[in-house]
Amino acid sequence: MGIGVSTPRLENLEKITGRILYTVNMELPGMLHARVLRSPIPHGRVRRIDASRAEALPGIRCVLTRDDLTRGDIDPYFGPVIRDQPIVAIDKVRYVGDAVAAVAADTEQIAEEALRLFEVEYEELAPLMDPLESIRETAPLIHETLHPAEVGFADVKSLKIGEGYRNSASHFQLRRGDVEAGFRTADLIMEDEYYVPVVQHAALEPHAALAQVHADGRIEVWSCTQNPSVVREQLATIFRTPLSKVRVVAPYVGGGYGAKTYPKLEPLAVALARKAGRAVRVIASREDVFYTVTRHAVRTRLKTGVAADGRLVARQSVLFFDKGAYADIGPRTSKNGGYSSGGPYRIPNLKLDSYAIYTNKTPGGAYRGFGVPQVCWAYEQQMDQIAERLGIDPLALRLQNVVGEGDAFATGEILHAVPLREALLRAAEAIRWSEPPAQPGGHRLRGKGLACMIKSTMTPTVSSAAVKMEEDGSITVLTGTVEIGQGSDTVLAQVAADVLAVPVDRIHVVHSDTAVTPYDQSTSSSRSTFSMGNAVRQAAGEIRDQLVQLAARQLEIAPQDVALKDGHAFPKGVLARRISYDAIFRGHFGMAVGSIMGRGLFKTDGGLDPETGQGKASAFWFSGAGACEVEVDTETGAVSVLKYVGVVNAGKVINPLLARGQVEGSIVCALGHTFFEEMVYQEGALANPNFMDYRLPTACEIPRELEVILLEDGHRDGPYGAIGVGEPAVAPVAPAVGNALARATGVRIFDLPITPEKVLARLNGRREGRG
Amino acid sequence: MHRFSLLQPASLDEASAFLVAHEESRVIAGGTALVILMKEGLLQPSHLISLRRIPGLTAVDERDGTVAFGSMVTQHALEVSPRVRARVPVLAAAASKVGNIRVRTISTIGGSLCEGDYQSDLSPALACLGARVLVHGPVGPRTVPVLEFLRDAYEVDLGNGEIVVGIEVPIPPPNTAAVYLKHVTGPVTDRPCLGVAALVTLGRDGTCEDLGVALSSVRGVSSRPLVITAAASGIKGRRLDNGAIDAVADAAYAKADPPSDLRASSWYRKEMTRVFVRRALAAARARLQRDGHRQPDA
Repeated sequence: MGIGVSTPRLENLEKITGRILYTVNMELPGMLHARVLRSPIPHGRVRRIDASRAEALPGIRCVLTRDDLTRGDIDPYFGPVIRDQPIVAIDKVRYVGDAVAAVAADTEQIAEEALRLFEVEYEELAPLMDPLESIRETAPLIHETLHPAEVGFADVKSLKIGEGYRNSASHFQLRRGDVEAGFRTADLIMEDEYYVPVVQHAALEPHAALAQVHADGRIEVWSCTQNPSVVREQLATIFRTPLSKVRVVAPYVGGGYGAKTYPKLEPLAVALARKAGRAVRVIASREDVFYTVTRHAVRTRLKTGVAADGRLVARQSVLFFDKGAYADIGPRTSKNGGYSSGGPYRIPNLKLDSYAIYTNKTPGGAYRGFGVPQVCWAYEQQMDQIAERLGIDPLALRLQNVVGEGDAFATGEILHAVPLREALLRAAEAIRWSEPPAQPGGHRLRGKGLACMIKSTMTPTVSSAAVKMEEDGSITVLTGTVEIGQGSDTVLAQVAADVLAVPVDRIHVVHSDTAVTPYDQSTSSSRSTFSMGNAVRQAAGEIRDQLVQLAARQLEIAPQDVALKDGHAFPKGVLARRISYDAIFRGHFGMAVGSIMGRGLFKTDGGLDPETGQGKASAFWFSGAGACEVEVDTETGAVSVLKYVGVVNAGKVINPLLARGQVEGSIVCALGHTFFEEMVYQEGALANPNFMDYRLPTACEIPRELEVILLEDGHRDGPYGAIGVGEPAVAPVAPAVGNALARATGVRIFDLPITPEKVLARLNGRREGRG
Repeated sequence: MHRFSLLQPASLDEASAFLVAHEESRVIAGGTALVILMKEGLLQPSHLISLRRIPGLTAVDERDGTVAFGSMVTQHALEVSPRVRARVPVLAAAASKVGNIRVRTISTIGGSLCEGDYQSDLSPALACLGARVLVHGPVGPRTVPVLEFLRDAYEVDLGNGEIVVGIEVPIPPPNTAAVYLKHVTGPVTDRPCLGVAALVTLGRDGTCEDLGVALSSVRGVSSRPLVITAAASGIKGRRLDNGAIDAVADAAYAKADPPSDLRASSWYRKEMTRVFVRRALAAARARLQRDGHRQPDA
């Protein structure tokens, strides 16, 4: 019931009436308020910390410094791949904004005041603000030693930790065919460098955590995290506590986009709560969020060999992910970017290298698209450059080379359900690719552009679910999926409702709570509909099987003759003999008691060889295309998008309303970093850690015509054929705009964002345009 | 944020007295700029003196050929006031470009001027209209032309204990068109990269009787707009043809000395000076033509 139906989000009323409970609204009795002292310098050794004046301030209940972390009773570092990030600074600070100390106080204001009373002496070290500075032999080391996480993720094994260059966090390599031989056969070799700067997720809800440590050592944390299971594992490791005694609860999350994956403020909140003996809540200010996590800047060097007829024959890429000061999940992000830099194309010879290099900036982490938007900006612009050089239509060049069903990806795995040809054709049709744009004349020029993408999902992973039928026939779904605004509650309820033949309003989805809900790896990588959808479908199926058995007994018919509809069981074709689910319960238990349980487990497999990058990278593949028409004001350099078309393969659309919302949201998000967004670093410090100077798109920047096309090329392993739709529309936006700009004016921008100043400078023949 | 005390005087004299009594105090009007500066720790006033309880500061009156605004009139009130839209529409237009609706319903005309920021929408409009600032203080009231009031970067002409109580704007003659153009390098809600106000008054013969162009963000980081007058550009008595427009744009370009910041480089702003002066004057000319005033040759 309800698959393919636009069920409005279940939490709509609570959200629009402002009554929904986010972590920032949660309180516990006697709760203290925490603030974090942050480093004013980008790189240095901490010589001395004197917290005595802060500690003496009335209302201050607890001060946390390195002295509390180095007594040997805890392991004070965290990080999902490399345990390189201390709860607060131990020997060094590594970026402006790095946590130096923290306080917990009766009020947030007192906590804030106390920060001014710390005395800290630093020995400053040279800041490294770009990977190209960090890799120099003379550069200081940002981390003297690296400790890979013991409880790692399986896919991270394909990385070489700390290898490749000085200050490297990780190196991923992929080798396929013979790239040099490929270049020798090429008629055209294109070699370019592209750059994408550091940007912010800008989720409306800032990071927040509320922690309590009980007398017996049990830890409870409420956090706006996207992956409570990983946070739990990291807290258990830090505080040497069994997983069963660490409880992480994720209430509704006010936007994630990747920013809330992996530990952020939770270890600090727990360390304070543990010392204070009281509950502690910490809420990041907007400035703190800028100092918490970012999307990596990436420099992509791309060399592509092409035959005169347009066939791509070889590609070599070198990617530098600007890691910032701590690894976070960046090694995996750079791996993703690495094997994706071949693009969605059949290229027989590949040599792809991706490095995550430490710098003295806010750590980079997961961000919608996970490394792919940065490399797509490179490979999709280069496709247009190739098309132009060879005199081939950019759409035709893509259609000639693009992968499809049964083709091998760069990793050697065989692709399934990647309707890129259809996506490109649908995008082209919607933008009327074959017709030249109507030129308005004067100083305005119009052009159309295209781009497409392919992306993996986190693999291998595990998701499990439990579904419970209550004695009145209503359904409780227990999953570790976090409702981050993507609509997972609604979609999972639709799946359970469909299997159990009840209306969606008979279903309640319990939010992620590691003490209650079964294990789920993460609400990220657009994996929930696919993985948790499968787990819920399986768990609900177990209940359905039991119901059918019970109903068959009560109806005195064979189980295969039982039909379920609208909360009733009946002999097929004989609706008049229907019995309700609660009646089945009463028949089975003798009274209105009991519950029927169903379990679901969905596991994906894969892994890549660390030397060749060959193997299986992904349980399924996201694919999509974008097309746009832009208008360029040649006097000001301003570019406006008149129309944008986003095409995404959903496999099967479970909820059209929410799927469209995801795609529209992706496009608007990407327009932000296409035109405006950039974290600007000056003299080692972030110059714009606020929404006045870090500029986000508004409703007014949404193109007048915004078209979403959802394809349904079903995946054999997806529930109903469904895969995820949260990310694939992001990556094509910037290169589609860049290509449209180039086709309108001849000006090509290699470094995002596309500012009016850069465009005007190049229109005027100037090499450099700032801004 | 730093701790402070909020004072809510009921009269201007009381407010002045508070300002004199507390050396580290600040007047708060809407607070949209001040509170950000306080949050960032750039200002740490001991006392905030709110003007909210002082009567009469939100009035919009018309007298002796001028429109007078209380200093607490919000940008949104300017934007929607029928009187402002009828008498000095360019001011309504400029106010409508400030930030977003949430900012405009709080931010005030007086507060905006006193912020003294170079990235301003209102200051070029007020400058090209020849607005005057009404100041109240311990030594009595005084009136200062807006161009003199805006002295430099975040610096305005206010003495100890003085408060801006209003703005007076002469109503332009009937055969006048004034235009405000805001250029942004970010979303529409962004602070202006450049703001240009242009006012053109035609004589009976269709030639240019008066002309004023004012630009924000092109005199370094000074809050004082760059103003090009009819006299300075040699336009008075000429027809407002493309050549005349170019001459004014060239004069503005020659005098522009814009800053480089996160929104644009000096080079880009200077280029935009010429483009937007041209566009503003062309728009003013088009409006005069549309309104049936005597045609200057296009």
